[in-house]
Amino acid sequence: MTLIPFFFYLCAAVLVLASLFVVLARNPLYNVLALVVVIFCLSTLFMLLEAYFVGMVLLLVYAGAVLVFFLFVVMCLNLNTPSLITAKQNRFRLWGGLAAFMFLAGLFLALKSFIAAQNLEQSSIRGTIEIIGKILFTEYLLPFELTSLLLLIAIFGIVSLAKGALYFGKEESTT
Amino acid sequence: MLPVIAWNLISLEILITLTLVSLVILDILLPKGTKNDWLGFASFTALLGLIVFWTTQQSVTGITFSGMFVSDSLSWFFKGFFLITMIFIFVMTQQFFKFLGERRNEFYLLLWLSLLGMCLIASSADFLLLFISIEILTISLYVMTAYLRSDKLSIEAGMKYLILGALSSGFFLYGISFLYGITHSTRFAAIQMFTATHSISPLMLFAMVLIFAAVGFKIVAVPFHMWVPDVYQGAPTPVTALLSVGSKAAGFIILIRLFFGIFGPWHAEWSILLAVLSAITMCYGNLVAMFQTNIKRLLGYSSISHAGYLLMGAAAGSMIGASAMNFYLLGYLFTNLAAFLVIILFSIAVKSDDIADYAGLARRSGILAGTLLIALISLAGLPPLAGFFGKFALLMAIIESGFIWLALIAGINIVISLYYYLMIVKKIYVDTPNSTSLIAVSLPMRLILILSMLAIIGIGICQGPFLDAAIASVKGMYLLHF
Repeated sequence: MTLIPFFFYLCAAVLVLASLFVVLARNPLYNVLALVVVIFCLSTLFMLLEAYFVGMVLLLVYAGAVLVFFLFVVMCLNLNTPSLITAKQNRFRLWGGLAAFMFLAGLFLALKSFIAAQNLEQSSIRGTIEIIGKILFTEYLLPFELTSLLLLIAIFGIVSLAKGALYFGKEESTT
Repeated sequence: MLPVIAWNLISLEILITLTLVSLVILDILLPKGTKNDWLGFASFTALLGLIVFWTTQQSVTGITFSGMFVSDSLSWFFKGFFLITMIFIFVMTQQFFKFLGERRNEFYLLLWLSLLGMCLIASSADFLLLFISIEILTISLYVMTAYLRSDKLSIEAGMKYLILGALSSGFFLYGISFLYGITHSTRFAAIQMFTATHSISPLMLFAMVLIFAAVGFKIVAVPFHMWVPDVYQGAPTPVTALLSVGSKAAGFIILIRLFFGIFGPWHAEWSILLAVLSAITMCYGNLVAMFQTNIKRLLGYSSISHAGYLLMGAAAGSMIGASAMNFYLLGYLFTNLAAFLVIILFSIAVKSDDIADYAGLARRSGILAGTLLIALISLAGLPPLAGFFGKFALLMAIIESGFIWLALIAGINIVISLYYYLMIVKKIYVDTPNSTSLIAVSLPMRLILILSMLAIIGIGICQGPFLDAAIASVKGMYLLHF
């Protein structure tokens, strides 16, 4: 049991560092690879919470499928445009930094006041497929079914935005 | 053990989904390349049928889906609101997208999905369901915003809306996770039980601010308004109209459910926050609106300032405040949609959204000029139109709650807004036109313009039944605190 906090802090630290790397690295390839590390750490955190299924799905779907696609796209496009890197963004840095600082300060003040729930019982629910399936199809039936509509929107969106040839200025000028 | 589900409560949403599915099938079965707009016609007829069905649903109230889905007077009121909005949006789409050909059909389907999202938002009593409903609405709006993919402005608008929308969704989820951590539930009923028995903690305040950030994005309150001008200008005009009325009203229904329901017991803490935001929002919107040259951009800033006026009702934190908000939104629906309908008909004929091109519109088309006149002076709040009585009710609510300073700021803002609304009116009626060619308006369009004019004047003159409906909608609200 005493190892759990150790693993938690380890993963959390790597998670924060990798996330910073996702944002700060200049080469898109490194961004994606750092994101893979982020997903691994997140998945471990879920496992530590005994949400095994969510942890596994995260690993399989994101690290296994989505990010591999990302890597392919990045490599195909060969996105090493120097114009993106040298563009002056000092104004954005200033305001962004200020906003981030205020947000973190607020978060810090808020968390300082947080009193952890007293003698929280060890939850008897384990995040196995069986239990998640039961909950999804009883208590969370409506939100679960509605996510299928979200996928439908994604299909409509992609099909309608990609359908047919694209002529700039001609095809859809208001005539 | 399976939960007991009261299907009759969710019948409207089921009917909308069924319509959507049958339209998809219709789209596949119909021969391609037909000139006739079958899908638009079928959508319009289905909407009329749904409105008839909606009128029979007033007394169907209750909660189901293990406390997630609620059907109460508030959701009934807003579902009607969204259905009427959609009638206008479908008419606009039929006019605006004539040149899109086959790609128009998917647009209708996306409109139906956004309608479903809005209706579900109106009925959500659980943060998880609320989040998914918001995403159904917002993601279909992302696609529709970028729909004119050969138009640079439209793509830019879609991109901006997508990135800022994703950011606001992130805030919302982060806020919910804090709420869940503190109260151990996402159900509104359980959270209200917590807020009623505990005083506010800094962590709760933080969660509340995060959630408000997401709602503020929907209702376009400053400082979450960054996306408005570019998206309003770049998006296809029917989408702009939907954003300014439907999406905004969806934001306000969340605001009412959260701040008059689950956060109600902490009214003393948040009312000052909302009052300050309301003042900043209306000042910003009105001051920047004065310098606009594009009419869609101008209505974007005017939409920000109206969000400011509406926030007054929320800051009042009373039954009257919430009812005034609902009444104001009802007037705003007809007013804003009439204005956008004129903009669409004008842009189809003249191919321009510049205010300069509106010079002398009265001599080119009497009906367009007349409708725009009525809509603009109702937005400005002159009697005896819908906008006047709405502002009056909001000011009354805010004064009763003791925010005299806010009422004064609102008064000054209404005077400022008169300036830019009346500048357009002057352009339409006094200035000499750039071209003397007449703008033809077809008979069905004339009919709809006249009907919306009558609605604006009707709500302004006999406010009684509409105000009663607004009050009743708040009175029967699930988990109402006040």
